Amino acid sequence: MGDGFDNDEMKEIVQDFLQEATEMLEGLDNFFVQLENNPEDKTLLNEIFRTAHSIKGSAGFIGLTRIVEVAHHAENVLNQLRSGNMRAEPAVIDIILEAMDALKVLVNEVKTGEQADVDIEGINMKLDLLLQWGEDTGSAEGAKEEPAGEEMAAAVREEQAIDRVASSGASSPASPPPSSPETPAPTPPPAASAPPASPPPPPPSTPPVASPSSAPGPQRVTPAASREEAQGGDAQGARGGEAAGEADQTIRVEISRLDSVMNLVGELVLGRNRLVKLSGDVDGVVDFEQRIKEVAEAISQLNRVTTDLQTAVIKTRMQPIKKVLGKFPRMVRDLSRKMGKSIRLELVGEETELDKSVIEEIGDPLVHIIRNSIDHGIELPDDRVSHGKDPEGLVRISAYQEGNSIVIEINDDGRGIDVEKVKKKAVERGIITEEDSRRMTDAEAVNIIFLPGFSTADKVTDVSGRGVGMDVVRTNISKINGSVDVTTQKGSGSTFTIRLPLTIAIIQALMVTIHPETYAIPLASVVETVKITEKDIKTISGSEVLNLRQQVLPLIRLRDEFKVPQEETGGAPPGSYVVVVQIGSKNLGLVVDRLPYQEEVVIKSMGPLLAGIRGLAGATITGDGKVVIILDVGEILQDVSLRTRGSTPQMESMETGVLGAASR
Amino acid sequence: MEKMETAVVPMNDSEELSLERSAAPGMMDFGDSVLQLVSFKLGEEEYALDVMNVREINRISDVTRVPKAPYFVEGVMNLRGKILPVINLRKRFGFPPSSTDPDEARTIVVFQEGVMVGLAVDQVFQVIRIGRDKIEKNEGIGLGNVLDAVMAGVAHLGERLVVLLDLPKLLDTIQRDSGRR
Repeated sequence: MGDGFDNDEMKEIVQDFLQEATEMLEGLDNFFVQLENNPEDKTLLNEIFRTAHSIKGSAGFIGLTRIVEVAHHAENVLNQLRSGNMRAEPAVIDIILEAMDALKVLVNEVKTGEQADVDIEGINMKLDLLLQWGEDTGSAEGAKEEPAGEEMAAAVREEQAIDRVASSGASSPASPPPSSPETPAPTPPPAASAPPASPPPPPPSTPPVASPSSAPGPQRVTPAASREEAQGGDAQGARGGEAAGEADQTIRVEISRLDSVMNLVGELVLGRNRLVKLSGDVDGVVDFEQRIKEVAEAISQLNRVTTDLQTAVIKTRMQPIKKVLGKFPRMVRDLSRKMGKSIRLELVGEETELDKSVIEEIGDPLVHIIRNSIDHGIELPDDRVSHGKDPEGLVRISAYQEGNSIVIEINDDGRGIDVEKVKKKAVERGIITEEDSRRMTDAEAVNIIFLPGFSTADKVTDVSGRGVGMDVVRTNISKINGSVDVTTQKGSGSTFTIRLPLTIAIIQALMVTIHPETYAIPLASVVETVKITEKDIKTISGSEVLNLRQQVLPLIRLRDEFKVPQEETGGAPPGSYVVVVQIGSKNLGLVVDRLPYQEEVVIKSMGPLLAGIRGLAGATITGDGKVVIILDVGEILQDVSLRTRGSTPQMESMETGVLGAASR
Repeated sequence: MEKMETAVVPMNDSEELSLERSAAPGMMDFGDSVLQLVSFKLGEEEYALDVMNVREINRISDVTRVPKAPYFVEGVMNLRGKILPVINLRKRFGFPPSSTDPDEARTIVVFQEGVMVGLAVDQVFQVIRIGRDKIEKNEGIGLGNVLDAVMAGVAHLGERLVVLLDLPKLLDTIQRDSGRR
């Protein structure tokens, strides 16, 4: 919107509006999904109406006319719903949600300043049609109302679908879903301009495309319509992830949290003053022992305050996981509607807090897992009934804290994962050997799904199985130093368990020395450490390896890799330990001199000048004030495997290193 | 003729020097015609940076070598909890290794468009106030390619010649060469 808000005050108002509107629209998505399940909920309807109205109001205040226009038309429909003249049919909700998507795009347009392609007229027209139909049939019998409603909506959808097909060749994947950019204002202006008196939907001479159905039940829709929704749904999910990834540069913090930081800073200053005073007037001190005791006290107070301050500052970065989970009710609704499945989504522990950076990264992997559960996990209603299950499937996402990590569980009550089939596929694709498959326990075997190059789906569907497998999920999660695994029970469902660190800025690291230098290796990627002597190292076609329990482990000497200057060492001979690291399915042994200790380290960026160095994730400052470089094990593995002749395609396709996300 | 235009403030080299930006308004207003420079030595040669580009000057302590970094990167240093990359200006300009007293060595911490870098020099010499007209705008007098590209001019201080560096250009070229690996 090139309205040129040039003064700061206006900018601030616009910023506030953007944040508010984004949150409200997200909230509305979920309200509508709820409404679909409880069409009679007057409180909910009022809430929806109020929210929509206030978006319209604030947009009008700033002069964002396009938003006002769409919001106004949507509000008219909402008013009909509220007054009971119209029922919140899934088909009606579809159109309203489409309008909400358009609003989101428009709000984003204000944010980015780039003109988005939104077919406002098309959406307004659909809303108007809906309204018209509502008015005309409002007085009619309820029984008549429903099929007609479905049909009307289906007709509208079909129109869209046709438009979509016409323009699909040219439309870019990035273009927002509700509008087909190249679409000329959708076909029927005649219909829109038709006097309200004319009989609106065609009489049911054609067999009803959608059977009359009560709100949340399974839906059968025309193939064209379902295609349309598929695209809408996909883009919706993708966009949700994108928006989260875009990293808002501001964060809202409760005043009470800031107050506690202020308090602690106050104490920190007191502690410093105390130390300054103690170190200042040394003249005339008689009792040195007493003085040392005082200093020790001051230091222990500083120590306590610093720890508390660290926690308090970390808290200011924490946000409820609701920020991510909030997008899912809508996504699950769209997907299940499209696939003809009936699915209830349960969210537990939405208030659980995670670091902002983790929140931003976790969206995409969650979307992937949930899609997978809906597509492969939950059966069609008929299948479920024949297995003696509730026709309605259940997907439950629960988040809770466990020690120093946050656990997110995605649980479905679908058909579960067929472990034998997984094994068979894995052997076929050469991911594991026949022998491995016999030796593996079911619990181990089911986790094969996270290995690169694995997909069990026999047929590729719209929802999942596009060649982007669960390995990407695992890679993305390990980027933020988390882990994921899965348990399953045939016939009764699967559970994905994601474990995430409370914050990604602090990690457990194994310190290693290559005399005279010290490096830190993230403990998450360390499998084990082995003490060796020089003669344990063998070579296979020029590359050094270690025979570790009948497995050949490739080695690299960090001293050579990092060109550490050779110095006379008095102590142990060089190359005394091998640190075995693992990323995905690849192992590597790093030869180092010693393993002095483990430590919790704060990852710091080395700045843009040094950020591009392969194999380094960042740096940290140790207790004695020295800087220690943190290794990026993923990148080292990748580079080593590219160098050696035996590099496999799997390794090359691996994503960047473990700590990539944290250091950049 | 040469009354007050060229004032030389000797530096107390036993202390860390912090150049607070906020101190500037309280000082004498020299207007636009006068520049304040921090001069430093690489061997016997004298170089200078505009004082406005300089954050602080520190002793060099505990520099951690960064493997695979460009040759002119001395390493990284702990600057009150931030990681500060340190550039060895000698290596950057292709000069031979220093023979001066390592105790005199300093890092000049500069800041430019979000990038904070320490420049390792043999010795920080003086803060110089000098009239702009005393600076010979000379971008490149054949002192070697790397240096030519980052020169802003030469200041004449009696017998002394001080090479004034263009910090944005210096950092740009460093940035460029760091990216190319």
